Amino acid sequence: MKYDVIIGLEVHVQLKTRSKMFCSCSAGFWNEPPNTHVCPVCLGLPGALPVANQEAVKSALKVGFALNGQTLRQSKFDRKHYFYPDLPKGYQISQYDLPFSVGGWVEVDGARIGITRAHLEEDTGKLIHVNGQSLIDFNRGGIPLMEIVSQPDIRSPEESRLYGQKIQQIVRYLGVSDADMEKGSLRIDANISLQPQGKWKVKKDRVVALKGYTLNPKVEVKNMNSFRSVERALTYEVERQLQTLSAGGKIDQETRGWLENKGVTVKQRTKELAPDYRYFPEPDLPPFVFDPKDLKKIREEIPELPDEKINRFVREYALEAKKAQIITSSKELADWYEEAVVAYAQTEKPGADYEHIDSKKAEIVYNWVSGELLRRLNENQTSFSASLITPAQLAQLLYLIDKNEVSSSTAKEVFAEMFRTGQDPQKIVSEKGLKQVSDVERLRETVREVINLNPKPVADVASGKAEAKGFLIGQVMKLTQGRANPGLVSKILDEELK
Amino acid sequence: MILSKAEVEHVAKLAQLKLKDEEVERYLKQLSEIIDYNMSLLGQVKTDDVDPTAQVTGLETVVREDEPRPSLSQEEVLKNASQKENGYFITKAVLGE
Repeated sequence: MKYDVIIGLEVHVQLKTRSKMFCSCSAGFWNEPPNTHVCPVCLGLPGALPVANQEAVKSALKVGFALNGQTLRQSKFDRKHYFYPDLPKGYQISQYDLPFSVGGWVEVDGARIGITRAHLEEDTGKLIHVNGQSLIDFNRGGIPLMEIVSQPDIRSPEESRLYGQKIQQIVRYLGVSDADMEKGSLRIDANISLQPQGKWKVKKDRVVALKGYTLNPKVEVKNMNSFRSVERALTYEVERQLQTLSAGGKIDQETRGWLENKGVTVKQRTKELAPDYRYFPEPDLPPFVFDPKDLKKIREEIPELPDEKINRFVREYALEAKKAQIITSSKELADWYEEAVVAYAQTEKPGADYEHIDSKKAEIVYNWVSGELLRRLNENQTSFSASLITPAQLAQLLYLIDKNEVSSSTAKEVFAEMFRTGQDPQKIVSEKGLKQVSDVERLRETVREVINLNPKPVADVASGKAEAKGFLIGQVMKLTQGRANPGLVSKILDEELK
Repeated sequence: MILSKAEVEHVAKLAQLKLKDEEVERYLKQLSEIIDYNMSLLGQVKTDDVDPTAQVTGLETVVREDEPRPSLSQEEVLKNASQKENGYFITKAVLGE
């Protein structure tokens, strides 16, 4: 039997605010001693009054807009009840029927993945289990947390990873979250099931069986701590369910945890709770009624998002879609690239604007940024913000190449120095004597020397072997430490060999 | 009886209470009486034209600036904890890990 893989993801994203969601404790809890960012509100002491953080609400609305969701006219918080030591109050303040954003979609590699909802809640405390005891640190408790729920639209483990990365990219573009899986500021849980092809459909956000067929239960997969482990865990899970079903076995509805070291998922002990959250409206937090004017203002603060940027780079710079995708992977990278492109265009045409960018120039900048710059950043594990070279300096270097002041091979050397020191290319070129040799008489001398030293290739050129000429040019470049103008060398060589 | 035994057991489980059989019987009777009495009062109120609400203040969209303020000291935070260690609250592990 052929099966469809059906995956829905819950992505949790910590919002990057200065203070917590419902109290003024500092949200900068990373690596702080336990229980030092805690107050009566986030500790759930009697009589404490939660008040919503305006910045967190704004960020949540932005995320909703960016995911193409709808803002309701009215929204509210609800209490979600369960007893677990990571919650001091016995309930979590979350959103039930009126979340900040409803519906929406993101595009992942050409496929449109539906979003069910995006709501705001408070993060829970952190538990460390040792020897039958749990140590509790409430520093994380009350950090604003967004939950973004996808439709069961995802069809493969790879698509799951890409979807997660897309959400990460969007919230980073918005600047509302670090969205770092290793630090837990982005977390992904998956629901996955396998259903026979043609026996199911999605109705009102849920997978339902077609007539005369019973669905295979879904399995919840947790504890995936990187995008790579999301893909691995779900690949494992697809295989496990496929084997079980193929052997005539039944899938249990359960929660399974991914064990990174062993590369398997295992049944997780549940919290032994009745699945009954008894949601009710949070009486301490008045409902939200949004003024369309305020919403419009918030919407206007949303920067150009990755998909729009890709389209624009393709349109304005005639960049290939694949390349546009790579160069827009982060906002910092895309901004850097664009600044360099504009600066480069202006080296020849001061005041050149976006619409008149020579696509060849955009392509050249792309090659330098995606090649030299990214490679060196990776090698040095440097982030964009810490990089010394500026977009304008790269543009100057490219201009020097255009003017034949440096050869393209020397330019790489100059770039390395610019990357290391942050100095202007002109300065490096003149101080290190890297200026391209375009002096015809000087080059002619070297060309003659090379001809004398290499009688065989010279004879080969005479008998029409083109690669022999390449060899001779290479020898000239070598003798000039790569500073000769290759076009000129070729021309002189032709003259001398006539 | 307005409640069933199963409902009382469910509520006890949610509250993480372990009840003996005779306790379930006792609470079944008491809870049923309480709910029954309250329902009889609520039933007399005319609510046809009243929207459901959980709010009585009439306030809406109450927010605060995103401005951090000092928290309690770790010592104060843990003051009422029956068990603590190295700045952590300690509780019996709920997951049997």
